[in-house]
Amino acid sequence: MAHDPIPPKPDEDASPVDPAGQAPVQGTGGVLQRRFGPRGQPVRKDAKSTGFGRVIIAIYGIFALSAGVRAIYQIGTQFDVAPLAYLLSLFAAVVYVLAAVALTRAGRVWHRVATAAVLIEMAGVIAIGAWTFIAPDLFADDTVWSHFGQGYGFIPLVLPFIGILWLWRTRPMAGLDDVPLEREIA
Amino acid sequence: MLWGYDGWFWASVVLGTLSFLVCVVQALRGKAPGDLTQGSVLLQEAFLLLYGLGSILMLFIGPEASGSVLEYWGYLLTALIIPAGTFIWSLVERSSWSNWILAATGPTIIVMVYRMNFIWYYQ
Repeated sequence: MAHDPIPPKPDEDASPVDPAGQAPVQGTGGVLQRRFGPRGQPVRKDAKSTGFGRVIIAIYGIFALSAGVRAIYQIGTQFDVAPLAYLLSLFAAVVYVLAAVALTRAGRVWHRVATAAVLIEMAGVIAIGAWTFIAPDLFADDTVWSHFGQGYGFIPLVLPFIGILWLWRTRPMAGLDDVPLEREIA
Repeated sequence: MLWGYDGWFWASVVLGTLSFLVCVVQALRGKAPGDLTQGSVLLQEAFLLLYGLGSILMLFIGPEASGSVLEYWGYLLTALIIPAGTFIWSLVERSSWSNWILAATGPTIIVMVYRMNFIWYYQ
């Protein structure tokens, strides 16, 4: 890892769009934005924190939340019903949390962590998806990954592929101008 | 009750679908989140708060959920977080992508209310 002369500050690595005193991005917001929006704070502008990157992080966040709450609830109240399914659900939830956190972070190490989490998820949904068709009696209750994520609109199956494509596009060595991951830590 | 779902569910379908459409249109037009899209999400939050109040009221006066009460409240509390979260998100990220995030709220809430409907009547 190269030595950075300037310590990375994730929230201040981009200069504010507007000089102080002016309302941020004037004209793009309405009453609600002016009433509740942040005032004159610097914003992150790197690939991970804008645009499509944020959409992916949001979806991972929703899955981390829903799968996690569900798994904790099921383990807490009815663990005996389907121990294997619930432990797998908890595992899936942990992977989603890890992926969501890693995707928001800049830098190579986090990029690797995110890639690993997304790959585990891809393997998980394919393996568990196939397993629930081959040996359905092992799973007395559904997991996020059962039947290739059917209970969640197959999003668990599609998500890791989108995630891995996104990680590939924003990889630190990509050298693409539109996804300046390196710039944010330099 | 229409096709086995109550008025709450259909209200969430109407609100969620309208919000989804408005947000998608605004996102496709390249607009940053505005009163229309942010408001549509806040409307869903208000709906869920009303739904929550109704659920509290039913604890005292009406029949309880036929399914797991704990699961029901788990869904409701999670649902309450979602519009609040996407709204805060849209305040911070001022690009048209935020409208896609806001657009995701409606369908998610519909699914959550659908699940709560199921727990309430059929579980």
